[in-house]
Amino acid sequence: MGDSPRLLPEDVLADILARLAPRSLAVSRGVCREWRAVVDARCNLLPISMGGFFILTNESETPEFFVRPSMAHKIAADLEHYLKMDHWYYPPDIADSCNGLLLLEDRVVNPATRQWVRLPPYPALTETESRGNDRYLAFDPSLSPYYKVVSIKGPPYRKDERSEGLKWPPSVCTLLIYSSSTGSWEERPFVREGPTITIAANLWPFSDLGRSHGVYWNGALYVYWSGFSMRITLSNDTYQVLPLPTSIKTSEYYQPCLGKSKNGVHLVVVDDQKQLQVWFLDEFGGKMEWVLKHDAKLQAVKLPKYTYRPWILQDGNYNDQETTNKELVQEKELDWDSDDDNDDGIGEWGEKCSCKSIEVFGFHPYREIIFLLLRVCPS
Amino acid sequence: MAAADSCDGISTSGGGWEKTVTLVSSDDARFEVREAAASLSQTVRRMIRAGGDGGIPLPKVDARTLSTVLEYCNKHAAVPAPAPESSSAEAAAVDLEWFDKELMHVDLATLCSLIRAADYLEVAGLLDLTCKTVADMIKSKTAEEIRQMFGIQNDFTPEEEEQLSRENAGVFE
Repeated sequence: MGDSPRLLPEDVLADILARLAPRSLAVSRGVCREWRAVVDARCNLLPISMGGFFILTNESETPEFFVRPSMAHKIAADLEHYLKMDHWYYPPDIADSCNGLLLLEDRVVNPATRQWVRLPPYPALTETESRGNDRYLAFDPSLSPYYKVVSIKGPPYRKDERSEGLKWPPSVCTLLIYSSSTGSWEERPFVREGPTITIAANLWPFSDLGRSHGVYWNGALYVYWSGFSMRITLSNDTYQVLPLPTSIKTSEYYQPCLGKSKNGVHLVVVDDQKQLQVWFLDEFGGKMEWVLKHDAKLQAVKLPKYTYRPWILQDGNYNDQETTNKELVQEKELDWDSDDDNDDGIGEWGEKCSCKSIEVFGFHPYREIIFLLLRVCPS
Repeated sequence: MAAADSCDGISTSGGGWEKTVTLVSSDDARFEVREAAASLSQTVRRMIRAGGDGGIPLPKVDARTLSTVLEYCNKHAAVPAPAPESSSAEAAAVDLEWFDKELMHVDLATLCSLIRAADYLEVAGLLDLTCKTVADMIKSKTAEEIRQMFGIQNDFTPEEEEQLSRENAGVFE
């Protein structure tokens, strides 16, 4: 390019590209090496804000997308599209999600940029062997443009596979880790720091009610198993066992949900008495302590009569051009910022309703908000 | 082009006396500017503070670009600060917006010179305006169109191209 009159300093180029929507940013990466380097080196160019989230309710087979109207046409939430080319006929299953990336079957998808990549098969593992593994995404665009997929063999679920007093996880836990920087899997032993726990005979349910899930925060992956979590430090190949808060009330049907919210890792549980508890993992100064932040009974709730700024629910198979246009019109009238979402949009509160059931969807990634599905009836 | 001749450092404007400074472009054109306008450039402001005679040399900016930058500075520094929410404040804002829009009606090469100048001179408002303009020009273009706009060579290897198209696999296009 030499001294082209249209040459721009790198800082300025980053400033310009930072103004682009994710889709245009993805196109800009493909202009030349210099532009790609600018986009990749400044991964904070990727805007961190929450456009919406995928939910899986008991009523639908396919994850649905709950989204702000203004973001609906920007995020490609039609998950089947990413699988269709392979004649995949099953409902898409989101194995994990992390800071805007989805782990969808054997591929990593970014619905905002519509980029996706298929993971290579595990090395030295037959498909049957790898099937028992749970996989988690570790991606933090503010730390690195690369992501990792961590595959962990879970505890034995079947009672007859468990010997009495089995200690799990073992003192050295071998994980399979895929790194997008190398494009390949590697096997890495992780050494346990601190004590382990002993599996009680009834600790793990046979069903998948207490399905394990992971959270990635500050370079560590937190994996929730029934009854405890593992905190896996990817940078130094160690892990710790984190017991649940001692006073937490759980049962086979009321398993806590681990999530990332403001300042770190949180845990939420709703018990059969509709008691909602939120715990925060205080890691300040190297300690690991669950602190109860919120404790409330949701027996009866007041719901807004209407709201000026509704979210919309997109079908996972949503691909109707006409409706999309309608949303674009709506956007102007209804647009609002989820970062600035509070009671302002609520016009009037209705009568108290009694809660029939509560389902926890998860945490807002950086605000102190929990998303719940309430089934209510007038009291 | 408003290259000023002699300057005694004082001129009248809006009925009052205002200090002026002389800026010298890379091709030795001299511009006499009100200090309030020139100070929109943090670089110039620092040089004014450092003192010195015979004008402030700006070896990275040519006369043509500098005159546009100063047009921007004069306009933006001239805006008085009336009571907020008054009708004249609103009118001034509309006028300024219109002015900015007109100023951006230039070809890409000129725009890039302005960006480099605004970056070097640290005129935050102009840098923001020009970057926004370029971003708007890029946003609906394909990679090839962007290359043509900027005169950029495609330096990807075929393997890298393939990788990129895999990453961008246009399931929606």
